[in-house]
Amino acid sequence: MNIAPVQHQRHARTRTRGIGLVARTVLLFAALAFALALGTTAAQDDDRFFVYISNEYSADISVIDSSTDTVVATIDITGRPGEVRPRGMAVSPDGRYIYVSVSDFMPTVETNEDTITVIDVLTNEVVNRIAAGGNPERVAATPDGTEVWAALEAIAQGGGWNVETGEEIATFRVGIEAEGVDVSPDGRWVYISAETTHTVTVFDRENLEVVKHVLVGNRPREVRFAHDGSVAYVSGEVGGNVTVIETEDHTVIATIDLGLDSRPVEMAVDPVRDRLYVVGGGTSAVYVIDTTTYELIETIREGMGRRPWGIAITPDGRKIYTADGLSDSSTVIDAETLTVIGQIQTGRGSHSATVGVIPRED
Amino acid sequence: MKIDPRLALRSLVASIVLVVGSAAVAQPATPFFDDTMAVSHAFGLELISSRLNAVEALDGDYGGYGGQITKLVSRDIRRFEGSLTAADPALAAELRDALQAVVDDVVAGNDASASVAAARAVHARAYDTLIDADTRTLAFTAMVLADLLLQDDGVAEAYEDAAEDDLWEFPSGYGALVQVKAIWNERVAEHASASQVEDMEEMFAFLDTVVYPSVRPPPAITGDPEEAEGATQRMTGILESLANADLYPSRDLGRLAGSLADTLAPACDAYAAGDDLTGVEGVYAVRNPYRKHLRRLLDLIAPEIHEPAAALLDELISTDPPADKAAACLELHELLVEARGIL
Repeated sequence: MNIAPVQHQRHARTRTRGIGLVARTVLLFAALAFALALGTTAAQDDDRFFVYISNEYSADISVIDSSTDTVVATIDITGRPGEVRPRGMAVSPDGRYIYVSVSDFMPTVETNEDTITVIDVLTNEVVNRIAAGGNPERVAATPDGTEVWAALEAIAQGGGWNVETGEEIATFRVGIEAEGVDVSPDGRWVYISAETTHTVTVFDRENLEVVKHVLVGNRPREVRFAHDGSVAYVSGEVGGNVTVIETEDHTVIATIDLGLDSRPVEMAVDPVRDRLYVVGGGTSAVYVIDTTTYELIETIREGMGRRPWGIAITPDGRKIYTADGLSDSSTVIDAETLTVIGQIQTGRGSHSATVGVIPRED
Repeated sequence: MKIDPRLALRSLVASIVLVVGSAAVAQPATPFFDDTMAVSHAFGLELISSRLNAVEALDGDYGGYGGQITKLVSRDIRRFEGSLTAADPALAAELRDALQAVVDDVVAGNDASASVAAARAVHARAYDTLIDADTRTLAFTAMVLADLLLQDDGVAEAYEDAAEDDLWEFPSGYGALVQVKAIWNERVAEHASASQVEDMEEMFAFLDTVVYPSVRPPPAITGDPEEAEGATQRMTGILESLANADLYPSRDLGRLAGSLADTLAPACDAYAAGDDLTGVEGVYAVRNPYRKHLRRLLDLIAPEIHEPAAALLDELISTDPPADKAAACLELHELLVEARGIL
């Protein structure tokens, strides 16, 4: 995966200071001509991503092209809006497949509707439905793309499946109302958060065993590993905080307080800056945390959609997208300036956001 | 243990940030911890009002609500009957009789409007006797509203119970919503900002139209049993902001377990002195928060504490309590102390 060099942009801007407008214009045209001469395919692939927004009530996925910030496709998931819904998603490392947690609206009952639905984004068609009984709420793919792991809300379990065969690898007990799930960057650990027990369960994927349950902030919603895997972040919706778990021995090393009524839900780790972005579901805000100091450095409210529940950032670190449940939209934020730069109409009840590279057809 | 200097530095910086940050912001009130018994008393009193609201709205056609209205005398009044009896035994007896009259009317299918009106009058006197004016701060009122929104028999839980268990829990949730609106309008809205009022009204509108469009339950609830959860959580968040009060005692589970042990201690003394009414209201004050915030966690990480604790809590409020209630209470107290030690 190519990551656009944001630091280089900063340097370039610095270097152009003091150069006149005419000279800058000439340089710009020269750069454009050079890019055209080289051909644009590689640059487009580096700059474009697909942003996926799951829409709980219209039971579909909005596909946004990040280069134009327009919805380029809407993928029907169940054909039965209001009965069966998509929520959490994950994308395969090559961008080819999205894995969608699909369930009915009975969170405490295990039914046949509970699946991890696999969609080929080259055709936008459902290619597999992996039976994941127990109301899967969120799903994570392993770094090698061979497995998906899910939080099974109805039965207080975590589970893993081979994406090729659909074969179950393991299920294990976690806290009550399991919700968030992530796989560590080295593939060793699966962390699953549970709302009602305020816990994160640590599962050892190598030995297929639960290592421990870690008490975290109240009503944990989502868990996200840092890109280097040294820590994991857990959003506590009622706690109004983000718990930081050190992954070497799975202990809490910090709790970042976002305020009484901050309502943190989904999170996105910036791939190029030391930042964590956290959406405030009930507060229509995005909290920006410096991950070196664990300090809240910015709260974005102006221009936000209503009840943002999901959030994702493009792999080049340029744009942040939220999934706004009450305004049925995705808010686009410039990650450099931390300002809202657009609103995209999505489907009803937007729930989660994730980003993938655009797969090559060959 | 090997300490990663980078992680140690992060922890140190984070600690400094948190200390500096907390010093700059006014500490929120903690009404649950400051007035645990008064909050429990007020919640019991408001549940009575909620059920009376439901009976009034059912307007003589009570359907299956007879199975629920008995909670007026089997549960709600027991949350404060010991304290009310200590303060004014005649009033306590009068209230029990008045509530029993409502129960009798509803169960028999008679028009309960007169008995409801009579019960409301006695109930108002009981409220004034138990909850003095100094206790009725904005933070305290917000805590009681949060309980009515989120606790058992409240707006969200009654709907969930109606969907999953007994459909006739539904009118109790409807009545709780009526009560929340009344308290909001009379005592809280004036302290809210325009945007907070707007947000609350939006949540009320949602609950009125989507969750509780009528006092009568639909033939079946086929949608999300947690339909009211999002709105009631949002409302509680607004209440926290406007009252600058921490309305979720579960934010600090160790403190909660300790507080519940402390709350239970006088109840055990009361049992030992033969004052069962005071004993059981202490158990009620502990049982709800235990069930809401601790039982599932302890079941996961310390079932050896949870299983006997849950059984004792149920036994002590049952109609067939243990022969030695004081001993059972002390055993429960020890379990809560143990829980505090591991949380």
